[in-house]
Amino acid sequence: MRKLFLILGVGATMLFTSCSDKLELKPFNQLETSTALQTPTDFQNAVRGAYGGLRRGGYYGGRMILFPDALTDNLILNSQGRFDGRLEYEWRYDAESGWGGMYLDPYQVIGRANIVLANIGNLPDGPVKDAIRGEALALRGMCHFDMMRIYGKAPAFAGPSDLGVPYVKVADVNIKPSRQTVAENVQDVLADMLEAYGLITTSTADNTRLNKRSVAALLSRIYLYLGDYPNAERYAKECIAEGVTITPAANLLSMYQDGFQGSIIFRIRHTDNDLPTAERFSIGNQYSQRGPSGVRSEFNIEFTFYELFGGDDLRRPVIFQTSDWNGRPYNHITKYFGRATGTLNQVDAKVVRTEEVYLTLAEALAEQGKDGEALTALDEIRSRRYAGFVSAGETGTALKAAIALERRKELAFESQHFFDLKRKGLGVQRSENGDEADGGGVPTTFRTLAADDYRWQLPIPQDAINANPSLEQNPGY
Amino acid sequence: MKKTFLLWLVGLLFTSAQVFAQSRTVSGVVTDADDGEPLIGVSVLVKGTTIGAVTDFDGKYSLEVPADAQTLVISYVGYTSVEVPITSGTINVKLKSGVELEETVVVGYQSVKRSDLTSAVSTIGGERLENALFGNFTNALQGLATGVQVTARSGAPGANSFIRIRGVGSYNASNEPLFVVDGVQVTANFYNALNPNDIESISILKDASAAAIYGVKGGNGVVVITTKAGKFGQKKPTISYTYQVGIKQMIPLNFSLMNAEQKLAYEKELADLGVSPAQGAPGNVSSPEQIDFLLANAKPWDEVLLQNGLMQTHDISLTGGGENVSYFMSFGQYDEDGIVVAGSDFKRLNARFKVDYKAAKWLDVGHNLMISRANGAVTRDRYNVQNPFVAFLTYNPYETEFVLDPETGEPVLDANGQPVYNLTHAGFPIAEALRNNPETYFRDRIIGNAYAQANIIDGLTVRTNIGTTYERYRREAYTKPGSVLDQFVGNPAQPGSKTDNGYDDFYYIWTNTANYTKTFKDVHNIGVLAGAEFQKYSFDSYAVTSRGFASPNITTQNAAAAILSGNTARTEESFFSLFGEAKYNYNQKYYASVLFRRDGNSNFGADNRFASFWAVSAAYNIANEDFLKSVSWIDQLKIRGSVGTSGNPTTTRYANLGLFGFGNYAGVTASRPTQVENAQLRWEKNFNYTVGLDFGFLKNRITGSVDYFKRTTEDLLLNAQVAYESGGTIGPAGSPATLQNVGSFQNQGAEVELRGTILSKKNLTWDIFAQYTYVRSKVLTLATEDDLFNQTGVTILRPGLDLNTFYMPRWAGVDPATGQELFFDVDGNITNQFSFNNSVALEGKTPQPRHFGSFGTSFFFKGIDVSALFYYALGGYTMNYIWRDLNSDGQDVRSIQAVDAFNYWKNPGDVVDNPRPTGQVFSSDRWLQKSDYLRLRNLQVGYTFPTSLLSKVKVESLRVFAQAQNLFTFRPYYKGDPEQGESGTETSAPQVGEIALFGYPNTVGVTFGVNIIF
Repeated sequence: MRKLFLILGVGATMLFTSCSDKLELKPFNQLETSTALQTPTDFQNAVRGAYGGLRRGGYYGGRMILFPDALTDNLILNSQGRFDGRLEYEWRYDAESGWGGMYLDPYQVIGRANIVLANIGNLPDGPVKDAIRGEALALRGMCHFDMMRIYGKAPAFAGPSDLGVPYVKVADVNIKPSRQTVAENVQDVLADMLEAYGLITTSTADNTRLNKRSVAALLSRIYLYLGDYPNAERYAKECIAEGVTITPAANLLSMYQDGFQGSIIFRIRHTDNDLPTAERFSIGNQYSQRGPSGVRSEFNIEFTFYELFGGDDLRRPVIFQTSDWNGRPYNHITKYFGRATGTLNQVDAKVVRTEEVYLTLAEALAEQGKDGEALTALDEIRSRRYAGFVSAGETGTALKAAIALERRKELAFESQHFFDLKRKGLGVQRSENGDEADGGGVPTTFRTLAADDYRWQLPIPQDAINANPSLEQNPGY
Repeated sequence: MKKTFLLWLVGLLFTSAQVFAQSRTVSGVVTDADDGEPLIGVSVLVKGTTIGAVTDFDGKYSLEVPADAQTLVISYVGYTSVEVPITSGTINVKLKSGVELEETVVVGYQSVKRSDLTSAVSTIGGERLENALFGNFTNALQGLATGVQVTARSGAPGANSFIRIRGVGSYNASNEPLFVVDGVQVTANFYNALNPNDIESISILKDASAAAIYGVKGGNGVVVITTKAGKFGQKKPTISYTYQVGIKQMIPLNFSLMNAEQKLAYEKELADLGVSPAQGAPGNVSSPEQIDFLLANAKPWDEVLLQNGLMQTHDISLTGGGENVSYFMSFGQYDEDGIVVAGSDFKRLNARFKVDYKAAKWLDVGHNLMISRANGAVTRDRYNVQNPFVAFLTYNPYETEFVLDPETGEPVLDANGQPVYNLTHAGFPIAEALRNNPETYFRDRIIGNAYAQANIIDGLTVRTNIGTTYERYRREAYTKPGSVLDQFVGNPAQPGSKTDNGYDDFYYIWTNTANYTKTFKDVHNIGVLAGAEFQKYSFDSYAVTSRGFASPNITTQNAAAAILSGNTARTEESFFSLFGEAKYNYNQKYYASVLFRRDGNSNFGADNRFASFWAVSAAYNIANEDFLKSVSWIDQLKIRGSVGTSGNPTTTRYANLGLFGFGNYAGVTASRPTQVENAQLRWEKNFNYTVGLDFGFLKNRITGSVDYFKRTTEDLLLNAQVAYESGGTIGPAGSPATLQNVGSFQNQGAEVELRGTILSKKNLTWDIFAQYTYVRSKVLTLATEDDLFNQTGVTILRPGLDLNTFYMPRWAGVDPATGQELFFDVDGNITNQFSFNNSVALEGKTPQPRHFGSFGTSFFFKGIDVSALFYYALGGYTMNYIWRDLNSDGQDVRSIQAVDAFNYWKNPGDVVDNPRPTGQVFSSDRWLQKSDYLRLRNLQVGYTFPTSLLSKVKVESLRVFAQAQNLFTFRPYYKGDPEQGESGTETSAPQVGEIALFGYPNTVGVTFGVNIIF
C-alpha cells in the first residue's frame, strides 16, 4: 500500500514537472523553413523542386502536351475514345470545366522559384549563387510566358488595357494580385529571362535543367511570339552557337523514346520514381492508351494534315501508326507511346529542341527579308526529313509558307501550333474529314474558330477567382 | 499524514476480518410481483458491500451476511430495485417490473445518478445496439438520441457514420465528437473496431458543463462508452450466443435507367440533333443487324456488378463473478460480403476480456482488453469507372461484360482460354478490375486499460488509469500481371505492380484522479474531482511499391523484379492536461457545479499551446420539493442550465510550422515548401449554453425532456483557399490552401424528446417515443472581407448566412420557344448565356438538414416483441451530380442515361424539364435537390420462448428474431439516396451531404437471428 502511494506520488510528480518539453515536437520528414535554405545544396534541392513542379498534370505533366494541338486543326477527336478533352476540342470550355490546371500549376513552379529568390541572400556571392538565381528567374519567366500566351491576347493584337496574368515576384501566401496587362507581362518576362541569361554563363550537358543554351532558345521563342524578329534571330543564333545537333531521321524514333538526346535542349524528366506522386505522370495517356487489344486514341491526326506528310517524309513512319480500334482504322500519334522499355506512355516532355530553334531562326530571318539565310536554316531541317531532298529554293511568300508548313509538321503535337496561329492572328479551320485513317468516320461539327474569337483567351478557373476575387474573368465567359 | 492513512486502512482491514467471523445466513425466494413467477438470476447484495448472491432457476437465493448487515439490495434488469431490511433469516421479495428510473450515468471521469445531472446527457442502453445490422456501431446510433445527427459515411461494409452533436462543430479541426471507451480517449479508427454487442451503455455529453471536463477535445460533444462487465456475486457463469444471417442490397433507385433499346434510340435522336458525341455512338453508326445483335445480348449492369451481399454474425459471451472478482469475456465475428460482386467484403473479429477485482477492502484493480482484427477489400471512391458505382451508372446495357464474337455471339477467348473483358466505351472493365486489381487491408487493433482505485479515507478515492490504443494497418493494392489495367498503364517488361503500405499507430493516456464526496448534516452534498492527464500519439507508416511479378499468384514484394519506390514516415502529438470539478447540492433539490480544465497540445506554437476551459451549471429538482411530493402525477421535474467553454484541436500535426518537404526531380533530391508557417494558429474555442427541462408524469408513463442550446465557435480552423497566384501549398481539394483561424459561427437549436407507455401489463407492453431536433448554423464573422469557398466550390461561408450556403448560377428552366436552357443573372433577369459570373448565394439552402429526429414504437405480447424505428431529416440540400450525369443534355450521351432524359425540348411550345440537348451540361441549381427523407430505419420482430419450456433443457433464455434495416425510404424530391455522407473523396473534399458523387450506396438489409443464453 505504501508502494501504491509512492507510485501515485512519483507518477503525479513526473506528470506535473515534465510536461512542457513533451509538448515541443518537431516533424521527422520535413525541415522547418528557416533551416531548409542555408547551404548551396539546400538551394540546389529547392531549384530542382521548382523544376519538379513543371511535371504537374495541368502543365508539362499532361495538358500542356495536348491542348495547344487539340484546340487547332492538327487533331481530330476520336469518336470511339473516352472524350477526355472533348469540350476543349470543341471550344466549349467555361470557367469550371476546361484546362484549369494551366492557371494552377505554373504558379506552383513560380512560388517555388520565388522562395529560392527570397532566400538567395543566404548564399555567398559567386557563380553558384548566380547560377541558382538565374535558373529560378528563367523558370519564373518561362511559366509566366506560357500563362500569358494562354490567358492573354497575342502581344501583336493586344490593346494597352488587354489583360495578361498577375506577374508574381514575391513569396507570400497572402497576396491577392490583380491581372496585369499583356504589355506589362511582356516587360516582366523579358526582364526575368534576360537577367537569367546574364547570370547563367555555361551550357551544361544536363538538359533536364535550364542552362545558357536553353535560356537562349526560350528567348528566341519569346521574341518570335512578340514579333521581335531581330532578337528572335539573335538568340536563336546564340543558342546554336552553344553547340546543338539536329536529330537525324535515323534517330527520330530514338529521340521520341528518350534515347537520342542530341537535339533536346530542355526536357522535363518523367520517371516512375518521381516524387511527390502528385508530380508523377505518364504524359502519353493524353493522346492514347495502348493495350492488348490495340491502341485507343483520344485524338488522332486530322486527315488533311496527315496527307501533308508525303511518302518521302521520313517522319511519317516514325510518328504515326495506322491500326484498328473497335473495328475501325485510325492514324494514331506515336510520339508519346513511351520509351523503348518501361512504363507505357511514359516519356519526357521535350520543351525545346534544336529543330524549333532553326525554324524560329528561319522565320525570323525571312520576316526580315533575309531569304537566303532563312532558306539555309530551313533546309538544315528539311534535308534531314525528306528522302532524296532537293531544296526548292523558295523566296518571299513561298519561303514563309514553306517555313510555316515545316514548323507545323516538325513540331506537330509538341505544344506549338495553337501559339503559332495565335501570334500570327490566324483562325482555325478544321476540315470535314472524319476521324478514321482515310478521312472517313465521324467528322467534327466544330470547325471554325475565328481569329478574333474570345475563346483564343482561355477562361480563368472559377475556383481561382473564388480564392482571389480581384481577378477579372476574360470577356465572353 | 501518510501514517494516518496507513493506520486507518489497517484498522479497516482489521474490522472487516472481525465481521466475517460473525456472519449468519439469509435465504428466500424472489418472484414477479404481477404473476408470482420465480425470477432467475436476480442479484441479491448486502448494501454497502460486495457480498451477494444470484437467484437460481426456482428464484431461490441463500447467502452469508455479516452480523452487522442491515439491508439487502435486490435488483434485476427490467425491474425496479428494492431495499429490504434484514429482519429474519428468510426474506422473500416481490419485484415489480418496470424501467429502473434511477439509472447511473457515466459522465466525464465519474458516474452520477441521472436525477443528480446538471447537464444535457443522452444515454443509450447497450441493448439498443445489440445485433445491429452494421459492421460499425456508429450507424446504429441514428435516431437514438436527440440533438445527435448520424449520417452514414457511405454504405461500404464496416464504414462508420458522421456524428454531429447539436450542429456542425468545425471544419478542419474534427467535426466528430470525442469518444471515450472505458476512460480511454479513442479516435475513429478505434471506436470503429468495437463490437456493438460488447457495449453496456453510451452516454452522449451534449452541453458545455458535461463536455468541458474534456477541454480541448470536448468541443463537439463527447460520447462516453462503457463496455459490459461481469457482476460481483453472480456466481453462476452465463453464456450467451447469438447468430444472425441475412442479405443486403442497394437501396432501390427511385428512377429508371434506359434499357438497351431506349438507349440506342436516344443516341440516334441526339445524333440527328447534331450532338457531337452521339455521332459515333452505336445507336447512330450500327447497322440494323448490329443493333439486333446488341439488343439480343443486352443486360443491365447492376446485374453484372452488384449482388445481394450475404451478412453473418456470431457472438458469444461468458460473464459472471464471485465475491471479489467479476469477469466478462466475449468473442464476435461480423462478416459481410458487400453489394459489389467482388472487392468490398468486410470481416471483423473481436475478443474482449474484462476483469474487475476487489483486491482489498480499500483497493479495486482491473483491466480491460479488446483485440480486434478487421480485414476486407475496398473499392475505389473516385469519379470514374474504376469505381463500380460509377461504372454501373456509366456502362450501357448493350455493352456486354465480355467481348462477343459478332458471328456466334459467344465470348471471344484469349490465349489462355479465358473470356476477354469488354473495355466498353469508358475504356476500362471494372468487372475485371474488381477481381484482378484487388485492394485489401488488415487492421489489427487493441484498446486496453488497467486501473487501480484506492479508497483512502471515507469519501475520498484516488484512481490511476493507464489506457492505450494500438493499431497495425496493412494495405495491399495489387495490379496483377496480365490484368487489363496493367496492360494499359504498366511496363510490359515488368508486368504487374503492387503497393504495400501501412502504419503503426500507438497511443497512451495516463489519467490520475482524486474524487471526494461527502454529505454534511444529511442535506449538504459536496463532490470534488481533481485530475491530471498526459497523452501521447506516435504514428509510423511505410509504403513500398514494386513491379514485375512472374505470376498473379505471387503477392509479396520480395518476388518482384524491381522496387519502384519505398518510404517511411513518422509523426507525433502530445497533450498535457489538468482538470477539476466542484459540485454541491442541497438535499437533492438545488444543484451547482463548477468545472475547469487546462490543456496543452503540441500542434500549436509556444504562444498558443495552452488554453483553459471552464463551465458552470445549475439545476433545480422541483420534484423533490415537499410541496410537490403530494402531487402524485408528477414523478420527475427538473430545470437545468449550463454555460461554459470547450475547444477543438486541429487534426494537422505540427500545424503552426513552416515546412519544407522532399522528393526528387530527374532522380535527384528536390525540396519544396509543404506548409506555410502560421505562428498565430490557435485552437477553436466554443462557448455554449443550454437550458433544459426533464419531466416524468403519471408514474413515469410519460417522460421526456426539452432543451434549448446555443454554441458559438470562435477562431474556426479552416484549410482556407489562398490565391492560386501565391503558389501556396496544395490543399486537400487540389488547390492552394492553408490552415487558418478564419472566423466565428454559431449553432442554435432546440430538441424535444417524449416517451410514453401506453400499456404496461405483465405480458403486454406498448411503448412509443418521438424525438425532434432543430438546429441552424450561421456564420457570424470572417477574418477576410471576401466570401470563403469550400473546397468543392459549390458552398460558401459569408457572415450572416447559414454555414455552407450553396453558391452557384440559378437555373430558369427551358425556353419553350427555342429549347434553350435559361439562367438568371445576378440581378434576376433571364438570360440564355451560362456564366459563373451569375453565381449567387442561395440563402437558406445548405447541406445540413435543419430538422431531424426519429419516432418509433415497441410492443411486447406474450413473448412476441415488435419494434420499429423511423428516422427523418428535413430541410437539407445536396448537389446531385449523379442525376446531372444521368440527364446530361447529351454531354454523356455515350453513357447510360435516365429515362427522364428523353423528356427534352423538341418543338416550339414544349414545356419540359430538359433543354434541347447540345452535348454540354452546365452546373447550376438545376441539380441542387432537397434531400428530405423519412426512412423505416429498423423493424424488428422477435419471439422469446417461455422459460417453463426451457428450464428443462437447462436453457435460460431463447429468442428468435428477424430484422430489417432501411426497408422503406420516402424521398419526395431527391433522385437517388438522400442520405449522402461523403462521396468522391478521391476527387474532392466535400462537406457532409454537400455533393453526391457515386460513393458506396447505403443498403437495405434483412436478417434472421437466434439468441440463446445458458
